Parts: sequence; C-alpha cells; structure tokens
Amino acid sequence: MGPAERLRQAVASDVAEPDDRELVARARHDPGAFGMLYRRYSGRIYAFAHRRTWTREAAEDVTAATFERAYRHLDRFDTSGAGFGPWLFRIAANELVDHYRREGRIRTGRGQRALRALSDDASVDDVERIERDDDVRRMLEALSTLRPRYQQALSLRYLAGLNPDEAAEAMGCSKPVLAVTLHRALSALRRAYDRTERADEVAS
Amino acid sequence: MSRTSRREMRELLERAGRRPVPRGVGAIDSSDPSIVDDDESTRSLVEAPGLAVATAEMRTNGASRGGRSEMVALLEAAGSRRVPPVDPAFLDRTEARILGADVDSLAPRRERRSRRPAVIASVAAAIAAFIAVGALAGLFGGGDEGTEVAVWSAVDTIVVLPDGDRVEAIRGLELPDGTVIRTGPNGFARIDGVTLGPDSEAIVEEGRLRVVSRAAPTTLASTSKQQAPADGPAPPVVAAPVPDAGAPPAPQQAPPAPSAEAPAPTNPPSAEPSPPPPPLLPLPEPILDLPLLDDLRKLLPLL
Repeated sequence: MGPAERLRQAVASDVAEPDDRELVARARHDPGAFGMLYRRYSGRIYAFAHRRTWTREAAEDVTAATFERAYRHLDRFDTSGAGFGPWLFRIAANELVDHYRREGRIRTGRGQRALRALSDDASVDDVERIERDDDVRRMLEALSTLRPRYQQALSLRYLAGLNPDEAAEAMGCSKPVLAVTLHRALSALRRAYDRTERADEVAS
Repeated sequence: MSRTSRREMRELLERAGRRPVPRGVGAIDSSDPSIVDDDESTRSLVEAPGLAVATAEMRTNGASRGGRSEMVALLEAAGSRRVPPVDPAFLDRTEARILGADVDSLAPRRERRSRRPAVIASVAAAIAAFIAVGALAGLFGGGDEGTEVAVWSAVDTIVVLPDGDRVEAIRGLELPDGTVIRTGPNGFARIDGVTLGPDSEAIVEEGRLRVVSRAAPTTLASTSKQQAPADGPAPPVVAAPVPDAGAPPAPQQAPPAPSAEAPAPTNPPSAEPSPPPPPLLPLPEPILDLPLLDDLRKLLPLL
C-alpha cells in the first residue's frame, strides 16, 4: 500500500461517520457526540412529530422534549439492545402521548371545511386535497383518543416509518406481539374514527 | 372518508407515493433503510389453502377488512405526508440549550425528587387498582377485547391474524377473534387448554377456540407422504369432529405428537371405500373443556 493509498484511507476513516452506538458511548462524556446524534435524528423526529400533530409549534415542542429526555437518560440506553433510533422514537411516541394528555383532543376538520366552503373557485384537486387532509386529520384526532400503547404502536409503525423489527424493538416486544397489538389498535382506531365522524356530522 | 371506497383510497395512496418529496431535513428519505415498503407486509399474506378458506370465511362472516384497510391507508397517507422543513434556528437553539445546559438542569418539568414519596404512593395505588380492575375484567369478560385466548405453548405453528398478518405462535401470545392457528407437519400447540397436533387448524371465535380440522393420527409412512410436496397444495386434512365437552377423556397414556415408531397401516390400499381405521394414536382431548366450566363461563357475564 503506497503512501497515497494510506493517506486516502486515513482521510476516509476521518470522514466516515461513527455509528450510533459509538456515538452514544462517547456522548456519555462528550456532549459533542450527542450533538452529532441530535443532528442525525432531529429531522426525522421532527417529521414524525409534525405528521402526528400537524402543527409546527407542537412538533418543535415534542422534538425538543424528546432530545432533552434522551440526553438526560442516556445512561439508560442499553447498547446491546435496540438501536438508538428505535429508542429515540419510543421517547418521541411517549412525548406525543403526553402532549395529547396535556392538550386534550385535537379539533380539526371544521376549519378545512370552512375554507372549502369559502373558496368557491378552488380547483377539483384543491378540494380533493382538502378532503383527504380532512380525513387524515380526523384519523389523527381519533388516534389521539386511543390508549397509549395503541397510539405508540400505530405511530411508530406508520408515522415514524419504522419497519416491523424496529417498531417491535421500540415497543419492547416481539414481532408477533406487535402484530397483535397493531391489529387491535387498528380495530380501535376504526371505532374511534367512526365516532369522530358521527360527532362531526352532528356538529355540522 | 367513510364514503371513500378502497379503490379510491388506493388511488389516493398512489398519488401520494408519486408526489415528489424533497430530501433533507424533515423529509422522508427513500434511501433510508429504516423506511420500508409496506407492501412487504401485505405480500406476506397467507396463501395456504386451509387458511385461505378460513380467512375468506371469516370475511364473509363479517370480520370486515375494508374499514381496517381504510385506516391503514389513512395512516400511510399521514406517514408519507410532506412536512415543512424544520426551522434551522429552532434546531440550533435547541441544540445549544441541551448541550450547553447541565444535564440536571434539563427538564425536570416536575420536581421529581421532592415529590418522590407521593409519586411512589400514587403509582402503587394505580398498580393495585389496575390489578383489581384487570382481575374483575378477566372474571367477567369485560374490556375492549373480550375474553382472551392465549397460546400456552407452540412448536412449528403459525398464527394468521384476521387482517392477514402471519406471525409465529409464541408462548403468551393473545389471539383476537378471527385468528386462525395452524400447526405444521411437526407442529404442536396448546391454546387455552386445547391441544392441537400436527397439521391441525383452529379458529378463535367469540373468545373461544374452535378446532376447524384436525389431522388423523399419522404413521411414519403417511407423515413422509405428507411432507413430500413442499410447494404444492397442502395435503387434505382429515376433519375430525370438534371435541365434545361431554365426551369421555382420551386415554392419557397417548403422547401428544405422533411418534416415528408408530406401526405402519397393515391394510393395503383398496379401491373400495372402507370405514376409517380407528386412531392409532389419539390426540389428547382438551383439558378445560368440561361442561361445568362451560356453564360457568356462560353464567359469569350475567352476574
């Protein structure tokens, strides 16, 4: 191996980003390492929170609280268990449950319908988009009424984009148990959605 | 949405999938290995003939899948929704606050130390209440999910949830109504006191297990014959009557699974139909399927 090759490898090893476990181990003594984890995951956590809460302010609150809690409890993270990502998403899912406990239900839909009624010149695509957003918001409203475990399972699997293995790790259960939990959670969501829809129809 | 058909939902999803999503902060990175194509999960739907029949039967019996699919579609639409980029100023501010602050000063939004005794007491009270409520719910069959059927033990057994998800049967797994349980050629499962031998199929209905088909006890020869077509259709399963609660218990000396040392059938195959031979190795009968317990189960909700 020539000097040029050695130099190239040395540069590459400097440039290569350390993996999560290594960063977590370092972050217990070095805040800068946690900063790297923060930059690595803050976008995904924010996106997860935003998809669930639909507002920038709430998403920022949840994101900040998630990383604060993670930093505070970094010593509880077991490097031999689930990865840092699932662990972080689990914290975020818990923060979201807390958020809805504090804030109560989200009330959505009416504003969108009012907008639809006002904008007569809205295109078909606009109306379709608003209607679809209405449905999604109503579903999220129904989601916030479920028991915490169901909220966590559905959020982690569908809104955080975790695959079944990661979601099971984040939930601290096996894949079969996650599948059963998701099945029940979807049934509960369906019922809650119907209730929300009926309530909206009565209100309008 | 309730008026939205599944076809429309699929179109919505397809449209959402075609929509350009910016890379960078706040957007889903399609190259991210942690984000998978959810079609993977639907591809794992069970195609085994017996299960297909059972699941189709369940659907026609009212275990609707449409509503659940709509929920999944909405969840996926929410999960793929475009998110506005996160404010860089917020990220910088938060990072500086977290990393610049002493760990102990971060958060406790509640004064945990001073409240510890009260918290412990309230947690203990909550746990006690939870156990009491759980016990009552278990006794009287209350709660969202009704009576639970659970796997006691299982080997080479799969569970097909009503939505088509196929998972391995593991000890302690609770089985909702509509779940199909199928044991493999070397399978064995004990579910709520009912024993399923190899190549058996059962379904959970109204919080109870109903044996749909139970393979006749097999000999070495017939077992190897059944295992031969690996990818072909499943061998016909000899249906056995659902265990009668009033029937006398099966001989206890019989092992739960067929033994490889069992003698081969002595009668040569004949073209003429002949009455099936008596079981050589009868499967153990359900232990808890006693008439008295059944009556008690029916009475409990009335109390």
